[in-house]
Amino acid sequence: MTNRKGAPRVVIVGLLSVFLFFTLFPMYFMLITSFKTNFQLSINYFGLPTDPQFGFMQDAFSKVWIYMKNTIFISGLSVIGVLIVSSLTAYVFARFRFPLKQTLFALLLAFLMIPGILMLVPQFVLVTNMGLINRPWAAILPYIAGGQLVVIFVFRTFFEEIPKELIESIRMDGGNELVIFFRLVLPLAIPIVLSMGLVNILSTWNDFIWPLLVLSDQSQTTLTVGLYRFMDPQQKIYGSIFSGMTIASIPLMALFAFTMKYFVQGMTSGAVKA
Amino acid sequence: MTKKVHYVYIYACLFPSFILIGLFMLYPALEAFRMSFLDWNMTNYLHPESVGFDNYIEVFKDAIFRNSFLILLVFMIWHIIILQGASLLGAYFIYLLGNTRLAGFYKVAFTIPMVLPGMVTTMFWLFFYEPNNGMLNTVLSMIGLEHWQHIWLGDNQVTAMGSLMMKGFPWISGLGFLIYLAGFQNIDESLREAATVDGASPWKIFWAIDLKMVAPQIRLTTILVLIGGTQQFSDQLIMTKGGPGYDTMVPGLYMYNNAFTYGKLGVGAAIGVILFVLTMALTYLNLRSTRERG
Repeated sequence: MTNRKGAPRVVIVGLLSVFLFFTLFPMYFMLITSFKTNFQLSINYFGLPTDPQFGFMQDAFSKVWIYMKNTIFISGLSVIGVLIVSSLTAYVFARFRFPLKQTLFALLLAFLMIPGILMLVPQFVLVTNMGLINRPWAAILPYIAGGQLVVIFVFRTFFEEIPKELIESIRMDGGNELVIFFRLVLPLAIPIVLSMGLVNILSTWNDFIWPLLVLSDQSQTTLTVGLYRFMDPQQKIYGSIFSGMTIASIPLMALFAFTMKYFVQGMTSGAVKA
Repeated sequence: MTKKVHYVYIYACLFPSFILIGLFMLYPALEAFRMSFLDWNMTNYLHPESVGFDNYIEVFKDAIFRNSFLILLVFMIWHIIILQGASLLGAYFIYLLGNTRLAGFYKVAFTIPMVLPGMVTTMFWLFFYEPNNGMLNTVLSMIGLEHWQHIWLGDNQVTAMGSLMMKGFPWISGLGFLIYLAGFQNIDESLREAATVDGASPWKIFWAIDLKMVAPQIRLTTILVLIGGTQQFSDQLIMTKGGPGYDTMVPGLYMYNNAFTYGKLGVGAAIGVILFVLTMALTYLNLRSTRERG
């Protein structure tokens, strides 16, 4: 335990608490407003609801459910795809020498740096010509293509750090490449696989522009686009809007509540490697 | 012979990755350059015409486009100095608490909003600035400052830009925060102890030791902001549509409007190429300055 002398501890804790209050306040407000009618909101803006209205949650859930289902499907398949494709590629890059290795890896690196905005318009034309508009694959395939880059990079570094002696000892016992991969490498990689998977889920779950373009159909679109359309400009029923926002937040909250440590690791390792 | 079989397996493993990269990254990237020289819109969708540099000339002649870079510059400077500064400060305070339970609590608590869907956060801020029932105007009227009320996102450039810039206050929660915190927590304690023994003030230690030690992290987040920032336009699209007028128009949104609202695909591709060149130039300058400093 270290005690760093600096500004008085009280001041630091005080400031952090004020910052934290403002950081978390939107979540508190979202939750309480989910249970208020417009009138209740106008007379009791910041307080807990005195007569909580649970109907908004029900109403919002029936509207949001379809978007949530689409998003779970798209994010789920994307992350599974990214993890499978990247672990294969990263393992091959980490373990073997083969012709064109440097060229192919340079291609990966190049696309890590090339901004996605360059490709936005042509990707849209491509997906349109492939007849994928308003089908989940219009999002899933590009998500795997783009999402794998940083994951391959992080996995490759991880695989290279596995001691050669461990691999050799399995080979001595007669294990082939498949045994090495599934019995040794994959179990060791579980934490990093989990980390990168969580970060990937967050990014596809949050994406807005791409689904807005390629999944515009009401029945096919994702949570972000669905919520965006939720803001009915004519007559705003705040209880309903905030209920929708609350419900949309629950799946990730639930997922990350148990995996926060891996998520934090994934965020930092992905960024440092990029 | 066995070697050849070996390579077949290797390329088979690489195949899924590279077929996806080829189709969804490499091909569109090359297409972007080709498309940027075409007059291609909804009326001649099947028969685009080659027009040389006309698309580039058209956008650079447009004052709205030129101005959008100034607006972007303001957002980026704000982002790099204020937003990154806030997360640096937050991370530093937590670091100063040492290896305590309290520090661990703050770290987790500041991380929680990161897992809210981005759209939920944006919708909260949209509500915050809403003219009639929005939180900002409501608070102003509660404390008797009705005359300070505005249609924040629509009155004029100052209120609209200001509102977008204040979104996310106090800006601690985010990737930068996690990166800085990891950086601070890797600092060698003996350095600080030696400085304390020598009688250095906390202020001096911050500038001379702690800040220097996280310089690589600061450079990293700056690159990330530069690359991400030139492409970012969803806040503008959702909250102001680039308005009032074109007062919050950034290049990315200008591209989006041209390509997907007006259907000018060639012009959109040209703007994409311009933004690509700009991003690459910024990345290159950043890498070069890093190398010079050692």
